[in-house]
Amino acid sequence: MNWLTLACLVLLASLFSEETAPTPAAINAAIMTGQEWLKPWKPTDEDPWTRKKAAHLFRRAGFGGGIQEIEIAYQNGLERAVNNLIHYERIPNPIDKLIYDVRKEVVELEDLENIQRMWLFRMSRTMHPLKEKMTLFWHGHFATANYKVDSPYFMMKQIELFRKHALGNFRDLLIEVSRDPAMIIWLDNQTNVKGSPNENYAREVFELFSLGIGNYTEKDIQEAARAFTGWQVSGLKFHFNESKHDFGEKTVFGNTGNFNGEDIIDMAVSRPAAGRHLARKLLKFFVLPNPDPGVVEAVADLYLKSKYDMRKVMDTILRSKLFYSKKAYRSLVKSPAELVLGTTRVLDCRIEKRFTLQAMQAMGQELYNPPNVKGWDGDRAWINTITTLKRDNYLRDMLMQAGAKVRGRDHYLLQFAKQKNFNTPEEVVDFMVLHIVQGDLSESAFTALKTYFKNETGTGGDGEDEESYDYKLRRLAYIIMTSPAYQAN
Amino acid sequence: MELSRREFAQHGLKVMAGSIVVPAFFQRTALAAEKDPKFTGQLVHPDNILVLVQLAGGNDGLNTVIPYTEQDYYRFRPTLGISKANALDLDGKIGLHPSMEGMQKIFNEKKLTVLQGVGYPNSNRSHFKSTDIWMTGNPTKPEGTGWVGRYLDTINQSKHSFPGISLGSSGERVLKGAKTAVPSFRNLDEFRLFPDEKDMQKRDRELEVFKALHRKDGGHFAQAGFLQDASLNAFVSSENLKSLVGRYQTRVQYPNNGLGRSLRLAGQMIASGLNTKAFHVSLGGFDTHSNQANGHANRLGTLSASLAAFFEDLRAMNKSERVIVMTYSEFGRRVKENGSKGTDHGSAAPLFVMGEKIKGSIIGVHPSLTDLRGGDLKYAIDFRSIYSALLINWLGADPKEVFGAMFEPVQLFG
Repeated sequence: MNWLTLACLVLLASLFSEETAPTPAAINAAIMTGQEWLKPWKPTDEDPWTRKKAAHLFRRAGFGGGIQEIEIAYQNGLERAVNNLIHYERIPNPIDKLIYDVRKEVVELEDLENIQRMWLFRMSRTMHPLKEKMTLFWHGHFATANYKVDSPYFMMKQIELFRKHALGNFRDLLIEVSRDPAMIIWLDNQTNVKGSPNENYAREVFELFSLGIGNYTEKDIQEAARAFTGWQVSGLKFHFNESKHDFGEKTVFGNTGNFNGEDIIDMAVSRPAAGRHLARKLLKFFVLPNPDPGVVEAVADLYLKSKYDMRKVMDTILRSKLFYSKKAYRSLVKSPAELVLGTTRVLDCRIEKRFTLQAMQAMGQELYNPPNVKGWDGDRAWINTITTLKRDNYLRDMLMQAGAKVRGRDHYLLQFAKQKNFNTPEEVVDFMVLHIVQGDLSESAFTALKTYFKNETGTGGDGEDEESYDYKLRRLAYIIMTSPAYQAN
Repeated sequence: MELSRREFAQHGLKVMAGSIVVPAFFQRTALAAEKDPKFTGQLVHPDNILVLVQLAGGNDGLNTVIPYTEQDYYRFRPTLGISKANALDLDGKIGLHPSMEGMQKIFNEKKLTVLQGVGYPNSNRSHFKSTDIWMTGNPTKPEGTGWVGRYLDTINQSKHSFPGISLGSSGERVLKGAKTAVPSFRNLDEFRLFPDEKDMQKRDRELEVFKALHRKDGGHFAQAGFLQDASLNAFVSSENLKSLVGRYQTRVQYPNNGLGRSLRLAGQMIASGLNTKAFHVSLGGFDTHSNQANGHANRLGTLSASLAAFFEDLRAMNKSERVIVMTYSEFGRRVKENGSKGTDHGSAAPLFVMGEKIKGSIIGVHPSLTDLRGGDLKYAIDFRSIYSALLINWLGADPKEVFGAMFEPVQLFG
C-alpha cells in the first residue's frame, strides 16, 4: 500500500473519532489526495462529456432532468452546464414570480398542505434546480418541524430564508437562522432569558449546525446560551428583547468578552471543525456516501479559505474529478423528493400534488416535518421492506393508475417515444432505457426487457389500438423504474 | 416453507405452492411465557395481540351506552333519545344501542367490558387535535410517535416480520415509533410488487424481467448490490405474506364493509401465525352533526356485527385467548341534541374492551347528565389508565417507557 493510502488511513482513524485533532503532517498528506480529487475534471477523448454525465449532474445538483434539459446541458458542455446551475440568477425562472403572486392573493398560508404543495410545485417547475436542492439540503440540515412550531407560515418563511441564502454565505445564513421565528420556537429560544438560560439552541448550533459532537465543551454551551438570551419572536417577526438579554461577560472557546449571538456564530463558523462538519454533510448529500477524510479536509479547507462562501464550495464540488468519478456515479439512494421529482421530470408530466405529497410521506419524507432534530438520515436509510413497496406503489400509480389523472398522453416521454416511430420493439426499449436510467442495465437485463416487450407488442404496433399500445409503453416504463439503477441517484 | 431469495431467483413463484407448514420466517422460536427484561412486572404470554378499532369522527357515547333510567336523558334528547324498551339492557341501569346485539351477547358471556366516562383533562374538540391526543397518548404535546409505536420500539423487533400493521391508513400514526416501520394497506394486494397484473402468465413474464433487473451481474455502480437485495427482500416478504395469509379461509360471515373486511384480514394474519403484536382498523362516519338516528344506528350495527364476527372467527381458529380488541374515538358528543336532530362535538364517552381473557364488567359509572363541563360530560377515567392496563397486563410492557409517567391501570383482567 502506498504512502498516500497509509496517510489516509491514519487520518481516517483520527478524524472519525472527532475527539483528537490529527497532526498537521497527517492533515497535509491527506489534503494532497483530497485536493487532487477536488481539482476540476477535464473531459478528454477517452473520458468525454456525455449525456450520461449531464444526467448525473442534474440528478445531483437538482432533481434530474427531462430529455430536453439533458440534451441542452450536453450540447452546452460541462463549463456552461455547471455555470447555469451555479449562477442561476442569470436564468429566468417564471415559477418564482408565479408563486409569489398567487400566494399573496389566493392561498391560505396557515394550512400546512398548501405550503407543502407550493414548494413541491416550485421544485417540479424550477429553472433554478440547484437553488431548490440547496434549500432542501438546508431544510434537512436545520431540521425544523411544523409538528412543534405549529405555524405553516413561519415554516414557509424559514424555507424562504434558506432559498435566499441557498448558495450564500454560511455565517450570514446561520445568523439569520438564529433570528428566524420558526427556529426560535423549535429550539425553545423564546424562553432563553437572562438569569434562566435555555441551552437548547446553543447546543444544537454547536452539535448539529456547525461543529459536530465533541468539538465544544458543556461550558461552551452554557456560556453561548447566555449570548442568545432575549432573541425572541414577537408577533410575526424577530424581536431582540433587551431586557431579557444577558449583556455580561462570557467565555467561549477560550475567548472572553460580552458576546452576543452573532459573536458566537462568528467564532463557531471559523473553526476547522465547522469546515469538516459541513464538508462531510455536503459530500454525503451531493457526492458519495463515505467521503475520504482527505476530501472532507480539502472541502473544509476551501470553506475556510473562501470565508464560508457556499457558491465557491459547490462550484468546486460540481466540477471536481471526484464528482465525475466512477465511485460517485449512482452511489447514493434517491430520497423520496428526488424519486418523485425525478420521475415527474423524466416523464415530463404534471405533478399531482396531494398524491405526490402523500406518497413522499409514505416513503418517509414529509416536507416541513423532518422526523427529529437530526433531519433525515438519508441514503440507505430510505430503503426497507416497507418503503421499497411504497416506492414501487408510487411508480405504479404514476404510470398505471387506471383512469389516471396522469395518463399516457400526459407523459411527454412516452409521447416522444411514439412520435419517433421506431421500427422495432428493441429500439423502443433502447430509447426508454436510455432516457430513464441512462442505459445503466446489464446485458442480460437489456435482453430480458427486449424479449418481454417484443412479446407484449407482437409484431410491433401495427393494427394495435392506441390505448393498448400506450398501456404497454407505460408498463415498460414502470418496469424499468423498478430497477436498482433507477432507485439510485 | 420459507421462500428464500436464492430459491426465488432460481424457481420463481412455483416454489410457493403446496406447503402447509408455517414458515420459521414468521414464527417466534420461544413459546414459553417470558418476562420482559426491562419491566419486571407481570408474566404475560409472549404472543398476545392488541387490535385497536378506531371510531373516527367522535362517537356519540350517550346513545351507545344509554342511561335509560335517567329522565334528563330524554329531556335533552327529545328526538334522539332511545327508549328503555329498545335499549339492549346490560345491568338494569344502562343498555346498548339497539343495533348492537352482537356486543350485548358478548357482554352476557362476560367477555366484554364497558368503561364509562373515558376522556382526558382539558379535552379538545378538534377532530385532528383530539385524534392526535388519543393516538400519541399525550394530551399536552400530541406530536411525534404513537403510543403503540413507542411500545413496539421496546420489543425485540428482529423476532417480528411486521411488529404492527395498519389496515387502512389511519393507524399509521398510532403505530409509528421512532424505529418501527409499520406497513399500512387496505388489502394484501397493495402490499406486493406488480399487484395489478391479474393475468398470471403475464405476471410471471414481468417477474422474469424483474429477476433479470436484480441479478447480481446487473450492477456496475456503487449502490447496486444493496438496492438489488432490498428489492428482492421486499418482494419475497410480500409474496410470503400473501401466500401465507391466503391459506386460512374463514367460515365466519363478516359484514360486507370496510371494517368487516379489515377484521377478516386481521383474522387471516393472526391465523397464519404471523406474530404481529398490534393491528389497527378504522370505521368512519361517526361525526353525526345532523339527522343522527339512522346513520349512527348503521355505524354501531356495523361495529357490533364486525366485532362479533371477529370474535367468532378467533374462537374458530383457537386464537381468541391471544387477542384483545379495544375501541376508541377522539371524543364523545354533547349531551343536548342540536337543532338538526344531531349532536355536536363533546368530550367524555364510553369505550369497549373485548376478549376471551377479559373479565367482562362495567367499569366506572355513567357520567352525570347535569354536572357538566361546558355542556359536555365530565370524564372520570383517563384513557391512559386503560392503555396502561393493556401495556402492563397484556403486552408485558412498562407504561413509563411509553408515557413517561404512571397511570393507575384499570382492572380489565381477573
